[in-house]
Amino acid sequence: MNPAVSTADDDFGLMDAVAARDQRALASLYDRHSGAVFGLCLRILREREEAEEATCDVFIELWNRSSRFDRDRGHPLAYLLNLARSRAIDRLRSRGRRNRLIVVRDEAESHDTPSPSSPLADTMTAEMRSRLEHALSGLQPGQKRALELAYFDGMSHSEIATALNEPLGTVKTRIRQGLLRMRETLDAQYGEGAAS
Amino acid sequence: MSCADRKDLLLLYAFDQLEPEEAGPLLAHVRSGCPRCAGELAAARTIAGHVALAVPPVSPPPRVKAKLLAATAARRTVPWMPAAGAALAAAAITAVAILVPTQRGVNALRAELAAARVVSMTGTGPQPQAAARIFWDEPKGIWHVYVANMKPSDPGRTYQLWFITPDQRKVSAGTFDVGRGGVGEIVVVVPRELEEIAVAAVTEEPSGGVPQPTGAIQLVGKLGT
Repeated sequence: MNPAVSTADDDFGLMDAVAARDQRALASLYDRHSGAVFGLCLRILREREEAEEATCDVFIELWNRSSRFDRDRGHPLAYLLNLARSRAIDRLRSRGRRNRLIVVRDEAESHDTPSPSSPLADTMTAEMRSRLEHALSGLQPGQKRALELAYFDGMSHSEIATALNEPLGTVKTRIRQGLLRMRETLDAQYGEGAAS
Repeated sequence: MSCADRKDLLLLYAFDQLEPEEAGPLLAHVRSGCPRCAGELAAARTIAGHVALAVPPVSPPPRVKAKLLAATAARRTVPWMPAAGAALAAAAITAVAILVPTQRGVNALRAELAAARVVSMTGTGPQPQAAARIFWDEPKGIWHVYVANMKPSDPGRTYQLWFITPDQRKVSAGTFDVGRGGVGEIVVVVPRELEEIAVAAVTEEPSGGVPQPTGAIQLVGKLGT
């Protein structure tokens, strides 16, 4: 079974309700997924206040543009997290704090508690997280590091090459091969194409 | 290039790892209606979104939800309906000749926005007919922005609102689209670190928005004294 589908079934209904201007549905989506969104924003921005603003912005944008969500383009949780990553990285780039952030990585989450959610959502999200961690564990350290810098720090290939002191072509190859390897592992777990 | 070849590129695109010159033709192909590539892009976006689950969840403080609900409450309680602008003449918000609420809505909105600071935005070169009003709830740090008479953005494009500081720093306030009638609205949380905002501007940008403006200014309003 693909847990992503099961989790998203309820989320699709909530997204429809948000598009119909049901604020309770927005609150429900927030309760279910704000922990993941805030955790991601905090990971990228490394500043609590700014991560709070980014989290609020993401859900306001969901409200403002709910009619633009297309269920054929992916699951609501993925949509939310892609939106959160994009907005957080926009903030990061606009403030030019990338270098400092690389130094202080991995210390923000350790003192926080998980966000409360529903037991079903918690179970399904934990299952997705477990499969993802398995996929990431299959990457070579260099691939994983380059992907982290690209995904969580919004760095360009040339910036990653500079940060890691590696040739640009090596960085591009590692990112490409790392992504393909990760997809291959996820496809093997979910069945071909089931990640969608 | 075959659709099988595009599968890997779509994965790279979903992770923002394609150069614009590669992404452009790829997106054009997807938008041409290829179901296989559209499905591959959806799958790639799902993977991209779920990578974020590698980060442990963290509970945001209650004030974030309170701010979200405050920002979105107006649209839940005010029964808007599209109409002409005459019914607003008696209301304190006469300037908003964009969407006309029912009388109950007028009263609720009047009370809600009585203390709001109102800033006008005017259309520039590309869209001189466009107009907007910003209702700035300063205690809550929220903008309610209503636009009118704007052309729908081109396919693959969107409108993006910008905070511009006195030293010309441009910070994205979010993206929005307008309906067939040329009207639109957006709720914006003003970043706390922006001590002063001199100008608000709207540009047309690629879908999803951009970190810094690249398109021509469509609307502009001065906030500074």
